[in-house]
Amino acid sequence: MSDLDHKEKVLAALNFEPMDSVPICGPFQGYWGLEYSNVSVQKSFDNPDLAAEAQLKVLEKCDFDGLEVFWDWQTPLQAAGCEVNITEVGGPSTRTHIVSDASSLDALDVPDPSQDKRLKSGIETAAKLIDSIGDERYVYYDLLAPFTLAGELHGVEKMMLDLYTDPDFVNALLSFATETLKVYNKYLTDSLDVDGVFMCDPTASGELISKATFETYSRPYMKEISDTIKAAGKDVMIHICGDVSDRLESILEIPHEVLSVDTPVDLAVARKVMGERVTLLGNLDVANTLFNGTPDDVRAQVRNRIDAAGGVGHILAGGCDIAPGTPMENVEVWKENTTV
Amino acid sequence: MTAKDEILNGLADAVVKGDESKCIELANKALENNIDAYEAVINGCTCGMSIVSDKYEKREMFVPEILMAARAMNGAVEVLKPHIKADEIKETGKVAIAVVLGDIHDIGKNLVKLLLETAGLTVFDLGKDVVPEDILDNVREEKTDLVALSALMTTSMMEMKEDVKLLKEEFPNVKIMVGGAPVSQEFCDSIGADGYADNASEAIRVAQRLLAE
Repeated sequence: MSDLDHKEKVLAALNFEPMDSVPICGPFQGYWGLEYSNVSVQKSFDNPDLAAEAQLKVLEKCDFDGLEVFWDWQTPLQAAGCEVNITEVGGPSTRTHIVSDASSLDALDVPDPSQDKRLKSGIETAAKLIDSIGDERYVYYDLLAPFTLAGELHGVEKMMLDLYTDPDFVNALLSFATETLKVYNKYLTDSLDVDGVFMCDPTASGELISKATFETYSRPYMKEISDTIKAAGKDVMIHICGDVSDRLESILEIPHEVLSVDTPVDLAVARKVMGERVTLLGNLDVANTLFNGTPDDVRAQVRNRIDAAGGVGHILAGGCDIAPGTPMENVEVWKENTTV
Repeated sequence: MTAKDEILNGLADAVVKGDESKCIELANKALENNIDAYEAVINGCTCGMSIVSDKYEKREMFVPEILMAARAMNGAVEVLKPHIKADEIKETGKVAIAVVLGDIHDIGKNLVKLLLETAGLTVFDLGKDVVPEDILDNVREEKTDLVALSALMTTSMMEMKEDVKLLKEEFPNVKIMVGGAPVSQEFCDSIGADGYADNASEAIRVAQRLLAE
């Protein structure tokens, strides 16, 4: 099979064309790839070459059809003034939440992505990857969604309570978050020639908020971002962690091409609800099967997922981030049997 | 229904609805009606939170609604606490709860803590990103019966394994339970922990079972 088949395979899945085999991707292989090559997160900021090489090594072994070229999606938090923990492995976490109330929100300016050092280094890494494989593989970068960004700025638990006690403040915070992400997304789209943008909203999960809350506080703001992404001519890919079975129809109101679902969602059920309106991506069990299981466990699960999704309009992938430390053999085997 | 039942049922209902001012009003009404303060906490507030816990399990209530209920309940408890006689409080067990080292996701841990406290247990909240030494110190100083460990990230699960090893070495009789999105019964068994729960409501049942053993 020629190299050009990789991107074409993903596009065929996006267009619901009949396929002989299902395309595969992480979808979020960035941090896992770094850990596999022993590149610490700080090192990846200081040395974009090493960070890119680590991903190419993953590609060599796993032969993904699509690749996450930028994964440091939480840079706006540090850029806005939050203190963060940079650990050896995995994404940085927010240590201080700088928006405590309406007045601290008013005092905040939308951060300037051109001054964001981490972003600059991430873009350099992504550019190297796109240069190397962007013609033959489907490439995408990650972007925060407003609800999750707002929660990180204010403190997720505080925001959850404020949904009831101070909804006006929450909406103001969400507007600021949306504005910030539009600015960041424009900068990223202008800097990187990607095929798609992967918008992720982990705190909009069915484990945390009700469908009604999702529809009021997450969806409208995600839609604003999705409209911007589409206006720039890119595919919209959405990921919400956890069980979103009760809000699949609801998610349809956000224009998007790909919905990445986590393990608790039954792909057969998702297919019934989404029909051919949205391509499904997922949903191997990253925490149990991929992290702790055997290659045979993974092989069985790969077949199960491909059958459940129906063999068309599906990209096989993990249900969420491939956890750093996941055995390479458990991801290498995906490509062995993706026939429909 | 007696006046007492009306007040206590009303209190439980106000907790479920997250109505803080109603909770405070009914807590005061309970005192005015000579209802025993401790009984009001147990049959009003705790009862309300068990209903909340049940609804959370059934996906009828979510984190924002639980936080509102907790806030409402605390309003009532603040009114009633000064009137509780010390010898009335039954000591049902001591639990230390922590999010393991390297992990800062604590909503789940906070939910479990809330429900454990509402169930009448003494809970030491060690916080998040907790070093093993702090957990060991707590068990040593407080003679804690049960340690509850939480992790959201797969990378933190190795820390859990380490915590269990160190705890069992020094305190072979302490019970350990684990939870969090990436954790499973399988993982719990593989690291030698005593119990696993896949949601906050289940965690209370597991905790009570382990404390009774």
